[in-house]
Amino acid sequence: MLFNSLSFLVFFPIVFVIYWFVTNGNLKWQNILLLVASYYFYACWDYRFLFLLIFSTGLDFYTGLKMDESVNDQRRRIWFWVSVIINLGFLGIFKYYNFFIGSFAEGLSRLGIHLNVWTIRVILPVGISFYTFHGLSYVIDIYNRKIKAERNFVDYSLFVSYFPLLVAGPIERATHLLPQVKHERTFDSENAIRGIELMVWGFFKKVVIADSIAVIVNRVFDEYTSYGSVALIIAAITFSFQIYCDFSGYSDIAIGTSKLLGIDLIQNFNFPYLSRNIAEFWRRWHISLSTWFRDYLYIPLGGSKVSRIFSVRNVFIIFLVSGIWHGANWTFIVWGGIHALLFMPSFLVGSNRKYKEDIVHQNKWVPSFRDIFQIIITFSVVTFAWIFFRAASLSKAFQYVTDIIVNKKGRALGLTNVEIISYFIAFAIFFINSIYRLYRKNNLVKTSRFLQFTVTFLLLILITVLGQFSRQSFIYFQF
Amino acid sequence: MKTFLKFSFGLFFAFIVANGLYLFLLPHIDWEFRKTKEAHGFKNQHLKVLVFGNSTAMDGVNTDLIDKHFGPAYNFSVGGASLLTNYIQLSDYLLHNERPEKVLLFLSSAHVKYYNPNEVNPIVDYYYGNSLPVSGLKDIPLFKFRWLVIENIKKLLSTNHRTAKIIKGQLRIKSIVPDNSSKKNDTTIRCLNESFYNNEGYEYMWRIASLCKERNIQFEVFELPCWKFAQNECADLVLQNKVIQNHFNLIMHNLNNYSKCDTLLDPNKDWLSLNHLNYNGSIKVTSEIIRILSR
Repeated sequence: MLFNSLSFLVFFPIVFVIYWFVTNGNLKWQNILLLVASYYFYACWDYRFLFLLIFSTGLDFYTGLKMDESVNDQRRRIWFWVSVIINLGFLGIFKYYNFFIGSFAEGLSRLGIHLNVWTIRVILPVGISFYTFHGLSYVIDIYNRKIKAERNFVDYSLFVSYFPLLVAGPIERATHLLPQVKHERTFDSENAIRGIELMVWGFFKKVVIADSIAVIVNRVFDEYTSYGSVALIIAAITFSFQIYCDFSGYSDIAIGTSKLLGIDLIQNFNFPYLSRNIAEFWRRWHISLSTWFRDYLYIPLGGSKVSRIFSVRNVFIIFLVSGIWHGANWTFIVWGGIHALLFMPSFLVGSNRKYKEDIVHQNKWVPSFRDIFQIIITFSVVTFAWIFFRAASLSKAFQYVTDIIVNKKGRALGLTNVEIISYFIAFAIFFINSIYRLYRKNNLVKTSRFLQFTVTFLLLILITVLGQFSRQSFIYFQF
Repeated sequence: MKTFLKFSFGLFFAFIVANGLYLFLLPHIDWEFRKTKEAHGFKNQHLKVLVFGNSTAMDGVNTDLIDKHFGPAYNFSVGGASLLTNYIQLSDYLLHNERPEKVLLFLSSAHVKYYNPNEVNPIVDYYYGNSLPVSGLKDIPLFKFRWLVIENIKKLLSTNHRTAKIIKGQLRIKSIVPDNSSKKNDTTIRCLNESFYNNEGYEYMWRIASLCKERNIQFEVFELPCWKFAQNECADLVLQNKVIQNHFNLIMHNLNNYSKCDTLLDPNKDWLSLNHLNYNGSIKVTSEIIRILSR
C-alpha cells in the first residue's frame, strides 16, 4: 500500500478511529491493532514476503532472548552472529547475490576465465533494507548490553513492523521506539495537529513536486544523448529536488502519521540542501541511516580515534557501504565513493565538525554571502554526485557528465506553458513553505493556529489541483 | 481531542467550501464551461451545421464563417474531447433539437492516439452526465476540473488569453506562435490506413456516422493541420466501416497534407501551438473546409 493511494486514505482513518476510540486506551489492544494493521499494510504489496518479515522478526526476538539468557560471552557471541549472518544473508540473497556473482564473473572474464554463473530471478522484498537494519540495531544493542531483550513478542514485532516506517524508514532504534511501544499513549491534540501538518506537507512534496518533475527527469535521463548541456544540467538539478521531495516527503508522511498515533519517530531530514559542506549535508540527509552507519559501523571500526590512515579507511568504508545499501549497482558505489572524496578534505583538515549544532542563518532572517556561497557549492557537488545515483549505468553517468562539460548542442527541455506555470507555482510554494518552516524552527516566527490552518489548507488545495495521482511509487521503496 | 477535531473538521469544511466556490465560479470565468453550458442548453434549435472535435477544432474551425455559407452553425468542440465525448454531445443535441444538415467531425494529429477513448471530457460529463455532481473522490470539483485552474491563470498572465472570445462555440485567440519546424522526410509513414480507423478507439466515430446516416445528415470527417514536422503527404482516404453493424463508407478529408498546408497557411502568422490554429489560421482553414463542402 502506498501512502499516496486511495487505499491509504481509507485504511488510515479506520485504524485511527479504532485505535483511539474502540480500544479505549488499552495499550495491549492498541499494539495488537497496530501490528495487524502493519502486517496488512505490508501484505497489500506482496503477502508472500510477509512470511519473510515475520521470520526475520522471530529470529531477532529469539536470538535477543538467547543472548540475554547466555551465561557466558561465547554463547552470547554465537547467538549474535547467528542473527547477523541470517539477517545479512537474506539481504545478500535478495538484494546483492546477482550483482556480486555477475560482477565476479565479469571480472574473471576480463582475465580470460569464462564462468557460467547461476543467477536467481527474485523480486526484492519492499523495505527489506529498512526492517533488517531495525532488527540488526536491536541485536547489536543487546549484544553491547545497551538494552535488555524484549520479552513481549507483539511489542517487539510492532517495533520492527510499525507501518509508518516499515517500507522506507526512518530507521528507528530500539532505544527510541521500543519504550514508546511499551508506554501508555494519550491523545495530544497539539502533536496530532502537527502530525496532520507534516502529512500534508509530505504529500505536497511527493505528489506535487517529486512526481511532477519526475516527468522531466525521466525524459532527459532516458534520452540524455539527444539533449543539450543546459537541459542536462537542469535535469540533474531537478533530480536533486525530486529525490529530496520524494524521500523527505515519505519521511514527513511517516512521522506525521505516527504523531497521529501518539508515537514520535526520529527526524530524517533537516534542510540538507542548506548545508555548507558535505559533512553537514550528511548530518542533515537521511539522518536515521547515516547515524546508523556511524553507530554500528564507523565507531566499531575505530571511527576517527585510530591512526590517520585507518580513519580515512573508515570514512571510505561507511560511504561505500552507504552507497551499496541503496542498491546493487556500481552507480551507487561510485556515488558513495564521490561523497567520500568530497568529505575527505574537510575530514583531513578537521573542519568536518564545523556547523555541527546550528543550522544556516540561525537567528538571522538572511544568511551571509559566505553562507550562500558555501550552500551553492555544496548543492552543486551533491547534484553532481546525484547524476551517478540516477543514471542507469556507470558508462551512461560518465557520458552524461561529459556531455555537460563539452557543452553539447541538442534538444531543450521543451516545456509547455501549462507545465511552466504549474512548476512555477509548485516550486514557489515549496520554497516559501520551506523558508517558513526554517524560520519556525529557528523561532524567528511564531506559529499560530490560524497560520497552521491556512498553510495546511492551501497545501491541500494545491495537492488536489497540481498533484500527480498516477500511483507513482516512492524512490526509496526500491532500496 | 476537541482542538484536534475542530482543526480537522475545519479543514474538511473549508475544503468543501473552496470546492463549492470553484464550481460556482467556473461557468462565470471559464470559456469551455460557458460554451458547454450554452450548448447543453440548446432546445428546439435549427442549427444547420454542427462542428465536433477537441481543442484543435475549438480553436481552428470558424463557425461564424460556416454560418455565412451554410446557415446557423455551432462549434461543440471542447479541450481533450474523446470521440465518445463528441458522440454524447451529438446524441443529446439530436434528442432535443431539429435535425441539422451537416455534422463535421475534426480529428487533430493528436487523434493518432486517443489514449482513453472511453473517457468523457469532465465538463461534458458534468453537464451531460446523469451522475450526482459529486459521486466519488474523482468528482471533487478542484480535482475534476483541475486543468482549468492553470488555464484560467493564463488569463491573468496573458492579454491574448484575457481578450479571447467564444463566438458560436469557436475560441478566438489572436496570439501567434510561429511554426519554425521543418518537414520531415519520412512523412509517408504517417498515412494511416483503413484498419487504423476501424480499431476500438474509433468506435464512436462510426457511431456518430451511424447516427447521421439514420437521420440522413451529411457527415464529413477532417484531419486538421499541424506544424510542418507533423504534416504528411497523404491523400484523402475512403474508409469502410467494420466496427459497427450497418456498413457504410465515409471520406476522411486530409487537411494536414503538406502541399495543402503550404499553400493555405502562413507558418509565421497562423499558429497558436504545434496543432492549434489561431484566429487567422482558422479563417484560412475554414475557407478550405467550405470549399470542400461546396463541391
